[in-house]
Amino acid sequence: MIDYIPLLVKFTESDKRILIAIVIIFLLIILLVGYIQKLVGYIMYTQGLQVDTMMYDILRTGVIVKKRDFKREARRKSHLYFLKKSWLPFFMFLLCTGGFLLYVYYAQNWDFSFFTTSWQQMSTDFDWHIDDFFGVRIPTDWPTLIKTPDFSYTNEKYIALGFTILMVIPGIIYLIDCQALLSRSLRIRQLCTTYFAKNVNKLSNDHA
Amino acid sequence: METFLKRSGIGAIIIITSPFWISVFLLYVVFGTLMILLAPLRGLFGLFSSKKGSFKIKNHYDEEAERIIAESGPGNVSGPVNQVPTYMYNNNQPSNNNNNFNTNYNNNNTYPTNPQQNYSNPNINNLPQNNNQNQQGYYNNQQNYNNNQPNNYDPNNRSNDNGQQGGNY
Repeated sequence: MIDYIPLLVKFTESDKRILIAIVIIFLLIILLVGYIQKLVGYIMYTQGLQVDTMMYDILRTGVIVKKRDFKREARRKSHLYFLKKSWLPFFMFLLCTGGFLLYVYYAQNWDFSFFTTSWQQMSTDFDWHIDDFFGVRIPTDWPTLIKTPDFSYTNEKYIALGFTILMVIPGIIYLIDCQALLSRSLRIRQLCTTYFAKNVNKLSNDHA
Repeated sequence: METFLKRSGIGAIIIITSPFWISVFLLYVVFGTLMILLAPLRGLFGLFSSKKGSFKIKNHYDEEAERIIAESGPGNVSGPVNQVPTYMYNNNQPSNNNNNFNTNYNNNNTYPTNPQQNYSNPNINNLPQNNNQNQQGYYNNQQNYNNNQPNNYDPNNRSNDNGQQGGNY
């Protein structure tokens, strides 16, 4: 720590400002991740409530009273629900991937260059002013726009765009379904420890 | 400030443990993919096995639950872990429907709704002077009103009436 003090003293005013900016950016990133976690946690909680919907009547009527039976039945339902929800996006994703590979085969373009060049044409490009900062090369100024997207029609460009959209949308839906499966598993685990817990407080509530 | 620090801390923990969460998520993606790919095989085996309806979410547990609900009527099923304290439904007004919300609940409960009924009740003189408005005193009054009712109270259970017997539970 003491070794760093002379280094801090040597900082110019500009260096100190950049250092403060980096610390603020780092804190903001951490804070953003914290709020993203809150959002993801809420989404996963609502996805996990599907277990409650599927198991409510069974537990309410006392058909299942054992934790082991509950776990087995809830998992079975959760897996079947996943199959029913995700088979369509999964096979659409497979179909589009197959179509893409078929096109690559007929075009004999196994390095996928048509795909990369098409997306380069349809994207923007910036010129970043990168400079050395204590041996680390980081952007030191706002970038300048050097290329705007080009959406002029060519077969390859729109085939690349179409395949990307058709693969990404079912892919995202499938990943959301996988997340819901994970959420339901966590919810089942949580219910196993809360619903079937032998908590004496429940007895004291009933005989208050 | 506290929320800011809490969120920042959670964010830092999430960044540090992100490889673990990403691995768990990817494992579930692989598991889900395998499940989808093996589902037709499972269905094929199901054709030759004695198990019917293996791809139906509802099974015999749901049928049994539906049967119990249909027999009991909607809203009258008490679950195995009824979290409602007893005193909350003891103070309900009497009803003549088959309310089996509480198995010890007396359906012939004639708790007077009309104040005039109190004077026609011979037990009114036996009522303890209850200036204390706590709930236990309220129970005692209610039990005296219903002394002419059949006793379905378990005398061994003295946890709810301070040892008195014969009251409605």
